[in-house]
Amino acid sequence: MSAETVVRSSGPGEAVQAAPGRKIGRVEIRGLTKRFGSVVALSAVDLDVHGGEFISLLGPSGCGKSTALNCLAGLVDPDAGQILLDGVDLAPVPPERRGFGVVFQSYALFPHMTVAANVAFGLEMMGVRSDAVVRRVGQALALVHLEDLGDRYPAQLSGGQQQRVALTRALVIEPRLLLMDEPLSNLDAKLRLEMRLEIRRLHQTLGLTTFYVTHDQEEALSLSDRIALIKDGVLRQVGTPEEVYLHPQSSFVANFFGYRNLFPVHVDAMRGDRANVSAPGNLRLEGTARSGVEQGMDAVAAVRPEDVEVLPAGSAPGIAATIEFAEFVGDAFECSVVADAGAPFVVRTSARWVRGAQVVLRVDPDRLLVFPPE
Amino acid sequence: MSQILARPAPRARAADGPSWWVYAAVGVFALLVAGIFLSALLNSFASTWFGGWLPDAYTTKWYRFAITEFDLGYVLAITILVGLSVTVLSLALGVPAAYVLARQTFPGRSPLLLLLILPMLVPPITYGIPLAAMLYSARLGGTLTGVIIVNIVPALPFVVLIMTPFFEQIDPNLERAARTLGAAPIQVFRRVLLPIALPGVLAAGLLILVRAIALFELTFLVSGARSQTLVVALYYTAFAAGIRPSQAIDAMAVVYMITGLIVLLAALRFINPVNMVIRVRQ
Amino acid sequence: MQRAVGTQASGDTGPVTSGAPRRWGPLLPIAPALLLVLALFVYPFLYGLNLSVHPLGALAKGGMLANYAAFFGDPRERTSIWNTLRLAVPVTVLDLVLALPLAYRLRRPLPGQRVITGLLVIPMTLGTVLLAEGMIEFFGPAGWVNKLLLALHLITTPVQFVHNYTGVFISLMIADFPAVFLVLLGYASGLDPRLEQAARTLGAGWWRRLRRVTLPLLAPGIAAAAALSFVATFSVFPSAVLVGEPAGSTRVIALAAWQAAYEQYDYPRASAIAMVMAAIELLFVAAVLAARNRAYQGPTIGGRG
Repeated sequence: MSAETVVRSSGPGEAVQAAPGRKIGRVEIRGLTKRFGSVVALSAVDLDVHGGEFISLLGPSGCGKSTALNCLAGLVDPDAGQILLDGVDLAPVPPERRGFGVVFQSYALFPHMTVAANVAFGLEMMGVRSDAVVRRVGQALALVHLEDLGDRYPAQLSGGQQQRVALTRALVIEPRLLLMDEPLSNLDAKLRLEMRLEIRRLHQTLGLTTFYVTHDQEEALSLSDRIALIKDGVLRQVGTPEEVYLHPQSSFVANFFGYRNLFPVHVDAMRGDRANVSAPGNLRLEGTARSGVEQGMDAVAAVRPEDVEVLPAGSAPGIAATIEFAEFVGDAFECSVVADAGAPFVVRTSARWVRGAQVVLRVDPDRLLVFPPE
Repeated sequence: MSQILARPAPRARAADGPSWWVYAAVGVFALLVAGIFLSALLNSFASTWFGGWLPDAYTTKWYRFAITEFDLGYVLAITILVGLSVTVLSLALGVPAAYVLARQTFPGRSPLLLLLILPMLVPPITYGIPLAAMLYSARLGGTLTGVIIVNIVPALPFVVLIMTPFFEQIDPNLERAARTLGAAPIQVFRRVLLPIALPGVLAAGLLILVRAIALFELTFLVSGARSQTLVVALYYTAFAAGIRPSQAIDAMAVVYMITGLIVLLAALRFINPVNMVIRVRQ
Repeated sequence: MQRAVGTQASGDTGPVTSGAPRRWGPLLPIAPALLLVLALFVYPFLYGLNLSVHPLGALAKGGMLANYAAFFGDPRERTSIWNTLRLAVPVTVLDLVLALPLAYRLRRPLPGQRVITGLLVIPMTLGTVLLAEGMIEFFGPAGWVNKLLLALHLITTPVQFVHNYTGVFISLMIADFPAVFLVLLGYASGLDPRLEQAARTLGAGWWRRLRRVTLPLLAPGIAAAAALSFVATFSVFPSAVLVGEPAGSTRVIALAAWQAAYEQYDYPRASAIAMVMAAIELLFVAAVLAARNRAYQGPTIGGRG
C-alpha cells in the first residue's frame, strides 16, 4: 500500500474534507435487518461511514451485501433498523428523492434512449434547464472519453463503454452518495483493472461517499478506505485494507484474504496468545490465537501459502509432506502438498519441486492464526 | 433473468401500489363470462324458463333432443377428428420449419418468417373465399378432407410463431456437443432436441387444438352437411330458418364449451401463458 | 421469458453448421411448410385478386375495377366499411386501455397468478359463436343483467343489449381481450425491472417513469397487440349476425363479402370486397408500426449489449 493510501485511511471520528458547498455525506446504519420469507438477508447490521469515505461491502454471493445496497438506495424497505444521512432518517424518503447515484451490476441503461439521453435523464428529472443539461452531459462524457458516442444506443457500445456510461449517468447529477453494485464483474480482466483505476481516480477527484459492493477481495483492497465483510447477513469485520488483510478476526475473513490453508485443530495448550494446536494424524503446530480461542476447544487454523516454508526432507524439523503437483504462476510456484498425516496444503515456493518429492513444512507461529470455529 | 432471482427484487406491492383492483377487475370479467355461460347452461336444462331468475323446472330432454335432432354425437366426433388432424399436420409441418428458422441465418430469412406467419394476421375471408372456390372445384368442397386442409392454413403460422423463439432459446451448443460426441443429425434430433422441445411442442399442440375447435370462418366456408364442426353446426342451428328451441341450441352450446374448456384447462396445466411470449428474433 | 435448458452463451445464436459455403440441405425441412403456405394461402389470395378484377355479368362492361367501383359506389355496401370500423376501432382501443394496466401489474407474480391469467384467457375457448349465443340469454330482456339493473333501480325498463350494435360490441370486447392481454403480458414480463429502478434512483416519479421509460419500452408490444386486435375485430362475422343487426347497423364488411359469394354467387365481387378488407387492415397495421417507430428505437432487452 502506498503512503498516500495510508494517509487516506482515517480512523473513526476524523472527518474527511468534503467538496466545498456540499454536505458531508456521513452515513449511519443502525440495526439494519431484512428478511425475504424465511431467508434472513441482513441481520442487525451496524455501520458508520464518514463523509467522503470509500467503503466496500465484501462477501460471498448471497451474503446480503446487495440487499444492503438496495436498502440504502431505497429500493427495498428494511424490516428493522435505520439509515441516517447526515443525521437525517432516510426511511420516509423514496428512492426518487434520495439523490444518490446508483450504478447497477447490469448497468440498466435505457435501451430506447441514446447515450446522451441516458446521461441527461437524471438532470432532466431535477429540472435543470436544457442548455445546462446539454453542457453538463457533454462535459461528463468528455471526462470519460465518450464524447463521440453521445448519439449511439447502449446496445451499440462495448461492455466497458456501457459501464462508463452507467457511471457517468450516476455522477452527472452530483449525488450525495455513490452506490455501486459489482460494477466491474461483467468485464474481462484487463478492462476490470483499467476501470478500477478510473473509479479510484474519480473518487479522489470528487471525494464522494461511496458504497461499493463486490465479491472480489483484490478490488476491495485496492479501492477502499475501509472494507466491511459480510457473511450470511451479518457484519463480521470492518477495517482498513491493511487491518483486515493483516489482522483477520475470523477464519471467514482470513479465507477471503488469502489464507487458503484452513484446517480444523484442537487447542492443546495456551500461553498468552500463543497456542499449541494439534490436528488428526499427530500434526502439531504452534500459532497465534485470535480472540475467542480457549484452551481445550476445537478451532480452525489458517496460514497463507506464502508463509509456509518448504525444505528438503530431513534438513530441519517440521511437518513431513509429499509434493503432489506444482503450478507455475509467473512469479512463483504454487504447489499442492499433502502432509504424511493426511492434511492437504497449498504452498508457494520459488523453487520448482518435482511430483513425489519428500519435503518438510515449517510455519512461523506468528503467521499461523488460530480462530474459533465458524 | 437469473440475477434477478439471485437477488430478491423488491416486492410488487412496495413499488406498484395496491393490488386489490387487479382482483376486482378480474372478478368482474370472470363474473361476466361465468354469467354468460351459466345462462346458457341453466337454459339447456330448463324445461321452461319464463322470465324469472331461474328456470321453472329442469330436465335433460334438450340434450337428448340435440343428440338426435342435431346429430350431436356425430358432429362432436367430426370436431375432435378435425381438431386432432389439424394439430398433428400443422405440427408436422411447422416444427421443422421453426427449427430451421431458429437455427439458420440465410438471406431472406426475415421475409420468409413473415410469409409463414402472414396467414394468421390476414382475415380468413380474404383467402377463404377463393380457397373454398378452389377446393370445391377440386371436388374437396364439403368434405372432411377439405375442412382439415383449410384449417391448417391459419394453424401453421401459430406453430411457427410459438416454436421459433422456443428453439432459439435452446442452447445450440447442446447440439454441437452431441455432434462432437459422434451423433448423426437424426440421433441429435431424437436424443437431444426432441426431449427438450417436447414440452413446447405439446403446449403448442394443445393451443392449436383449442383454436381449431373454435375456428369458425374457414370451416363455415368449406364444410358440407356431413362435415360441420361443432361451432359451425351451432351457428347454423342458431341462425337457420325454422323454430329451434333455444334450450336445445344452448344444450349444443354447452357441449361445445365443455369440449373447448377441457382442452384449454389441459393446456394451462402444462404451460404458463407468460411462457408464450410471442417475440421472434428480427 | 422462461429459459429453456442450457442458457445461451452471449451473442451465440448463430448457425449450428460452420461458416462453409452455403449448403441448402439444412434448409430443406422448411420446404413443406413453405409449399403449403404458397399453395393454400398465397395462391388463393392472388387467385382472389385476379378474380376481383374480372367482373361478372352486368359489371363486365365496367372494366377491371368495376367490382370495386360498384362496391364504393353503392351506399349500402360502402356503409359496411363504416359499420365495421365503428366496431373495430373502439373495441381495439378500449381493450388495449383495459388490458395494459392489468398486464403491467401482472408482470411480477401476484398471489393467484395462474388462476388470474387462466380466468382471463378462458374466453378464448368460447370463441365468438358460443359467446354470442350465451349473450342472447344473459343480456336479453329477461336475462340476468337486465334483472340486476332493474333490481338496483338503475333502469326502469329492460335495456336492449343484444341484436344491435351494443351486443356485437360487448361480444367483441370479451372475445378480443384475452389475446390483447396475453401479448401485452408477454412484453411486460420482458421488461427489465432494473430499468425502472434506475429511473427511480435518478429522480423519476411514477408518472415520469411511465411516460419516459415504461411506455416507450412497451411500445412494440402495444403496437403488436393493437395490430392483432384490429385485424381480428375488423373481420368480425358470426357475432355480427347472431347478436347484431346484420341487415342494419352491424352489416359488417365480412358479411357483405359473404353475401356476394353465397347469396348472389358473384365470386369476383366477393373477392373484391375481401381485397378491400385486406387493404384496410394493412393500412391500419402500417400506421400502427409507423407510430411505434416514432415512439421507440432500439431493443426491449435491458441495457446490456
